[in-house]
Amino acid sequence: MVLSVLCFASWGDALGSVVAVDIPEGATVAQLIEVLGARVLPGLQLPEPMIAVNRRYAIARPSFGRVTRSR
Amino acid sequence: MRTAIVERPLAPHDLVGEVADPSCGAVTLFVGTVREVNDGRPVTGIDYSAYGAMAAEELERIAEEAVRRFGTPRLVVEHRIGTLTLGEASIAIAVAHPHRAAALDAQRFVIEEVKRRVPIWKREHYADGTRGWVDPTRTATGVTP
Repeated sequence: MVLSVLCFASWGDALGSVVAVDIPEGATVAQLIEVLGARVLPGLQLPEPMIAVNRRYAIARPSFGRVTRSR
Repeated sequence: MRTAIVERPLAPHDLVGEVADPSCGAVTLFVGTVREVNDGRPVTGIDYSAYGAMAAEELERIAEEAVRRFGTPRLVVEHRIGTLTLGEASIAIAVAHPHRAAALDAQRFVIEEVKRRVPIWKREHYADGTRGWVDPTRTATGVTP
C-alpha cells in the first residue's frame, strides 16, 4: 500500500514535505521509520521522528524526545 | 474553554478578560515569548510551523484534559505560528479558578503538555545569519517557549 507521509522540521528538510512510501499491509510504525530513514542522506543526523497516523500519535505517551538517528 | 492556533500577534491581556469571572479568586496568565539567546547563541527570531489540523486537535484535547483534571472550564490557550521577532509572544495561556493552587497547576499542566504533544516546530534565526531547528528536549529548565 502506498502511504502519503507528511514530514516536518528537519525530516521535512531531508525528505520533502510529502513523501510517498510503498509499504506492506500490516507494516508497523517502526518499519515505516526504517523505510524513511533509509532515504536520508548518509551521515545526516536526525532526531527520532514522532509518528502520527490519521492525526493520532502512534505511541501511548508521545513526547518530542531526543533519540538521535545517525547513518 | 477555547483554544486556537493563530497567525496574528497575540493579545495576552485579552485572554485574562475572557476567563475572569466573579466566581474565580485566581486568574493566571502565562506568556511565552521569543528570547534573545538560546543555547548560548544570539537569536533574532523564530519560525513557528505546525501540522495545523493535528495541532489544533491536540491543543483542544489538552485543554479538555485540563478542564477535567483541575475542575475549571475557564481556560483559554492561543499559540501563534509564523515568523516571530524578539519579545513577541508565541503562546498565551489564561486560566481562572476559584482557588490559586488549581489555577497554577492547570496552567503548568497545559504548557508542559503543549510542549510535549502539540506538533509545532521552531526554527531559530541566529545573529550570524544561520537557522536551525530547535531540539525540544534541550532546554535549561525543561521548557522552551
